[in-house]
Amino acid sequence: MKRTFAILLAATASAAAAPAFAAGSAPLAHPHNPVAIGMFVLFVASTLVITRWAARQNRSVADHYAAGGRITALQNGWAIAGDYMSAASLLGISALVFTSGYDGLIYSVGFLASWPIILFLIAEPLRNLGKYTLADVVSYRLQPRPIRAFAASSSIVIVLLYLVSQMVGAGKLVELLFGLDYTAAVVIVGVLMVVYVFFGGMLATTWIQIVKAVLLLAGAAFMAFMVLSRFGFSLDALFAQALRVHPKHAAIMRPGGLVSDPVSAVSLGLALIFGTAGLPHILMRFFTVGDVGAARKSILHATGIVGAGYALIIVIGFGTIALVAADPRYHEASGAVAGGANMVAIHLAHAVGGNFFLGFICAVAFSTILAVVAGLTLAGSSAISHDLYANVLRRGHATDREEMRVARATTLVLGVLAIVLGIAFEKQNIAFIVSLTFSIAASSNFPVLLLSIYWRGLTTRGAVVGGTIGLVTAVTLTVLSPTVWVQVLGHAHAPYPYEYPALFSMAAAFVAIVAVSATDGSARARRERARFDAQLVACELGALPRRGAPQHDNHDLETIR
Amino acid sequence: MNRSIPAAAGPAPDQDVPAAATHPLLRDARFRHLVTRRRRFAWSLTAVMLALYFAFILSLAFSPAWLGRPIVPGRPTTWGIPVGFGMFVATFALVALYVRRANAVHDALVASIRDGGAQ
Repeated sequence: MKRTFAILLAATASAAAAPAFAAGSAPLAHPHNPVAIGMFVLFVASTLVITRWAARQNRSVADHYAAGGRITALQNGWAIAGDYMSAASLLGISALVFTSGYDGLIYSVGFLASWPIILFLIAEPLRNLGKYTLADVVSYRLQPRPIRAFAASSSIVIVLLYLVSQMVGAGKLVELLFGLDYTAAVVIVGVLMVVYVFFGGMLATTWIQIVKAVLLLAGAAFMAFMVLSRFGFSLDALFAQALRVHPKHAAIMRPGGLVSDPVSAVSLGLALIFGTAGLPHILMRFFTVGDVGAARKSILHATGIVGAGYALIIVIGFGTIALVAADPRYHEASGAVAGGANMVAIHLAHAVGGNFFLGFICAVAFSTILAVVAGLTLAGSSAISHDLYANVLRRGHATDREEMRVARATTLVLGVLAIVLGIAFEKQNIAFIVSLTFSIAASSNFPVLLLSIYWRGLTTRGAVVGGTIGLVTAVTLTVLSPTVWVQVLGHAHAPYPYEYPALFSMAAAFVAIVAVSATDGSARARRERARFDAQLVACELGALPRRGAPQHDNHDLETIR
Repeated sequence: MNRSIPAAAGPAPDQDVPAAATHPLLRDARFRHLVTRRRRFAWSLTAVMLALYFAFILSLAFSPAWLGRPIVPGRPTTWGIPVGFGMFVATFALVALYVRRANAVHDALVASIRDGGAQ
């Protein structure tokens, strides 16, 4: 299972490990493909127009963090799908199908399976109990300062790691697609994402995500259509051709070595399914819609869009085998695919749509990264400004103005940090980072969030201690795994034999949270358990009028927008 | 202080807890009905999704040959293809089922409690 998770989760990330592109081979990276550059400039220009428009709409902190709750269910569904279908999905999954066939399908199934879980267990309580961040939810009945400090820190770790992987991927991709210098590419991405978030907040970030998701899906649909049209719209005929061309022949239609080790397989499955429910930039999307019903419907839309997207990408993947693998135009003299396996979808775009469509897909791949990093930056800055600054440092007494100022300042800081880290990690093999991100989210944010909603016995001490143990275990096991200990650090044997930590780190987190909470006999813990009743009511019904207060006057969720 | 909601049963709060922490709705039969019903439904669907997914993953791990058999002997398409795409469809179907039930049943229950039983 080596490398595969990364290839798939972030083509972008694993592009770091891809063979350097040899200039001169055919249609790719012609250091200056004018169509690709034109399309890209057009996309950037339209995102700046969106940002300018959004900046004029934004008036409050609620606008900045959550687009004032005015996003519709359908728009939010597209935005969620956009957050989820990164360049990794298009380039990484098609690359995985290209190299191992059927195995590519296995990963997409895991990605999609996380959405029902979020819908059934997390989305509605999150929307009912929270305002802008998941820390709002877990601090509903727990001690606000320690629990927010914990949730914000773990969110920031997740955001930073994810951001680094995207920045490095973006740099490599732009270098490859447009022939631009790596450092320049990273700086451009960093500056643009800061501009989007700083001026446009959540409204701009959401609309950029929507535009990109529509472009991505349209591009994928066109490519899949063109591929199928070559085979009389018969999947069977497409498979038959792929099977003839691929060196593994019939093996590409069978599950391969990807899921041969059950422990790694289950660990990966757990990280995929539950990790998404702990990703701050995904969770914050549920605060951008008007009510619980809209949050719910946005997941329905997102699941449909992402599912359709993955199905198209699988077809595209088999199309790359059938149409790219045997075409000498897309190979270097050595026989390797030009630009590495992650570029096969880009080659396919050329094969079915010529130079113009190639430029379009290049621009979409890059815009995908821009949109995702903007969402990450917003999630990171809200964890710092809303949780750490306004609620931990100022104990909830910061004015909106002050909170907004800090939100913008942290956006700048995160932008600089992302650029610096992106440049620092250029030469590193960072393929493990994305899987680490999902594992941390599944082992720290997710257990604390889930138990705070459903388990009366949870106490602040249990949540902070257990969540921290989950985070530390996930990081430690990843460092000790073959991927990092052997491949990155160069040791001979890995102390931890499996690829992914989630099975053990999630178990450690849950056991620690339950054990520490159950033995917590403090008066504070008793108060926290007692407040579960009030939380339960709010969780099920949304914010209710408080006793004695006039009905219209106390709809907490309404007054903030 | 001893009432408990089935889905949310836990140790009874101590006596030193201020009365404000309790909520009259917790004694409301409709509210308890809503909580039980919604949570039972949500956790059942969660169990179905996890069972489907891990059945898929573990069958890949333990008996890959089964999914690798061609549907029509001699043709390339294996059983793994409809099963894999079927997982997409099943995932979407579960989500759609939940949304349908929530829109039709849960929302109405919530609305009736909010309108009539809030005080």
